[in-house]
Amino acid sequence: MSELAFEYRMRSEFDREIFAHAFRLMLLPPDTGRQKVLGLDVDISPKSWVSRGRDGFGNGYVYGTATEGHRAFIAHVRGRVLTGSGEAESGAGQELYFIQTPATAPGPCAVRLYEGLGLPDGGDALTRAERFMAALRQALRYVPGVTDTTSSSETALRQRSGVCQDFTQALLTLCRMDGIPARYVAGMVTGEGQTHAWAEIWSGGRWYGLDPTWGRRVNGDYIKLCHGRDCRDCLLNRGVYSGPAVENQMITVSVKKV
Amino acid sequence: MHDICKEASAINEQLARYGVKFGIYKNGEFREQLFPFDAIPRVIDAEEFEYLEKGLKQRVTALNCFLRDIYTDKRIVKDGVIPPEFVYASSGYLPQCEGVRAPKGVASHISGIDLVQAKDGTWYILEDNLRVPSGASYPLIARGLCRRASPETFRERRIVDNRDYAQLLRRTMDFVNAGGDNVILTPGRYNAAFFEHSYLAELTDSVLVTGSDLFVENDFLYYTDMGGQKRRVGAVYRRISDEYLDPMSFLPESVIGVPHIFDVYKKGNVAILNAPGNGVADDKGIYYFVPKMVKYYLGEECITHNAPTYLPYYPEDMKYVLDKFDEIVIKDVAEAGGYGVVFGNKLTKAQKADMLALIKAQPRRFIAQDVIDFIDIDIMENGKRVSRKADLRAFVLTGEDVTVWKSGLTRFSRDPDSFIVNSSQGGGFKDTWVLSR
Repeated sequence: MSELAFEYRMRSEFDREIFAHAFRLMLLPPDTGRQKVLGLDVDISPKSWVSRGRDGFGNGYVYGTATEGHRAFIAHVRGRVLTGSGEAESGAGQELYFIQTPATAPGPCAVRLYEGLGLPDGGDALTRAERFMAALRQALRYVPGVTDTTSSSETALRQRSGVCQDFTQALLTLCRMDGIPARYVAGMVTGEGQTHAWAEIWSGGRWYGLDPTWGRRVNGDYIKLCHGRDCRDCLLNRGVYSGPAVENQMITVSVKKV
Repeated sequence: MHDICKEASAINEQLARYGVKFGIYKNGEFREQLFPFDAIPRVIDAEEFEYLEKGLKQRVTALNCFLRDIYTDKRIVKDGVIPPEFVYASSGYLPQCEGVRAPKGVASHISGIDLVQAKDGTWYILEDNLRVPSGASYPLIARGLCRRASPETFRERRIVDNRDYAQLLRRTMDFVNAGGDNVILTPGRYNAAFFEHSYLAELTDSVLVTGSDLFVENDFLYYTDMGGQKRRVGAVYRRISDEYLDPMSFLPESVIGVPHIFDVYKKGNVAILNAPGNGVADDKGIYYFVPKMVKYYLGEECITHNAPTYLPYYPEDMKYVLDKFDEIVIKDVAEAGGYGVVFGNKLTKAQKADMLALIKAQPRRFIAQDVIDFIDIDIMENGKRVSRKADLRAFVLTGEDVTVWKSGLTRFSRDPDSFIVNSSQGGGFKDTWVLSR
């Protein structure tokens, strides 16, 4: 077990004043079989009304609106999380994660990859998923900036490159083609300056984390924030405002062992 | 009745002046077209309507049971009545609604059920519209104008007055209102049904608003009235689709929605009519299962008849589709408004092969139905009586009780060779008279 201290800081600057800035931040790590939240502190400026909610997947979030005009918006979330207390997470509702979404729907590249593997039937879901993960390490290169949150796994497989989001969605595609429920996870990991994404695989009645970007099982270095069917279900921060401003957003994440 | 027909062009002129138009946005161009009114009414006698009323009430009650169940306990899936993929792969299924209970257990407040009558007199349900069914305002305003044009027609016949729709709608909103004013939320004047939004707001004493008029503060929904006062909203009859309702929970790029409205709803501080997520119950694939829902939730035999429907998802139905391709109609479950409807016998050889390949590749995406030879209805065209295909949209309002509006929107195809009556495809409409005896 390890205790991790994390810090998520988002700063948006606008070149002119904006109003009625509504936001939703899915940055509240849940208590699961694998992690336990020891402390959490959320700071938002400028002054806003703030509330908390939970989405249909069970993910918690903070939301509110900064009504008054402002040119800078800062969200600062800090906390400490005990991780690695278990290997897997129990749960229910896994039938939802059998289904491909537009972001994971297999196209010719996914079909070629899946059929090319020629994985014989049998074996537990986790082992099969690990084979898919290994195959993806060959099929995809880590290249930032070539995809965005609306890109599909097929796009990434076709261009043979992407970021953690694309590695994860491609793994979901292959698992679901194989009949294995698999879901998208957004979170944080030690040693990276940004948020991260990985997959959870339903195997033997529990959810196991696999990180296809790094090609490994999820361990005590990972803090989970939320899960869903694909990247679009796990947008960590949403915002809309009034005003014809240009926004410049900076996000920094740090996760350190205590 | 003869008198009304004489007045038809005058009535159409008045309808145009009132703004009874259909806006259509197609190929990047916005066009407004009149929604042509035909003065010959569809007449349904008392006994026949009593049957329809009973059947429609039962159907909508079961659909509301389904919507309550599917986002919470999912008994109907667990008990194997509906395969899970028909629920979870439906584009109308919204996981955001998981665990959300609609106020007072009503999810489909205003249901628009489309029916056709076959030549043997049997009524068939074509589809259930449980999201934002439009159309009630058209026979409503037409009735008013017809009564003015020819009062004696209505004096001499036992026609049930249909002008109570606004009261029914108002009662439906009041029943779920969480405290505050009723508003009708429109995407704006470029929407196809903008006339209806403004007309119903006026008649129900609701405030007509667009997304930018509404705002959320501390988990309550408000608007600013003409005097600059902040007023709380208790019920939103929204005429925008789920995906655009709230950029914080649904499509983040929506600019016509209200940020946080869905959270206010989940906290029970405002009612939304119809409830978000209803698309899972009016999906063309789920339609197949409605008679099974009636049996499952109510323990009754389904009174209404579905058109004979086949799901290529089931191997025996796939075989039927392949064998009878020229006699059936194929519908893409993801489409609406008469789009994505293909008649097997109207395809060329190449088109047919493409269609079959598509069905085999994505069987869940399509349903097939026998083509019902439905009754033609007379319309006046250039002073002559001609017959055309027509359907009926019945409106069922669910509040404290379930009420079927004693009228409905009869739509007809102006093209003599077409079975498709949707207004977005250029059809016209008629009033629907229900006789009191």
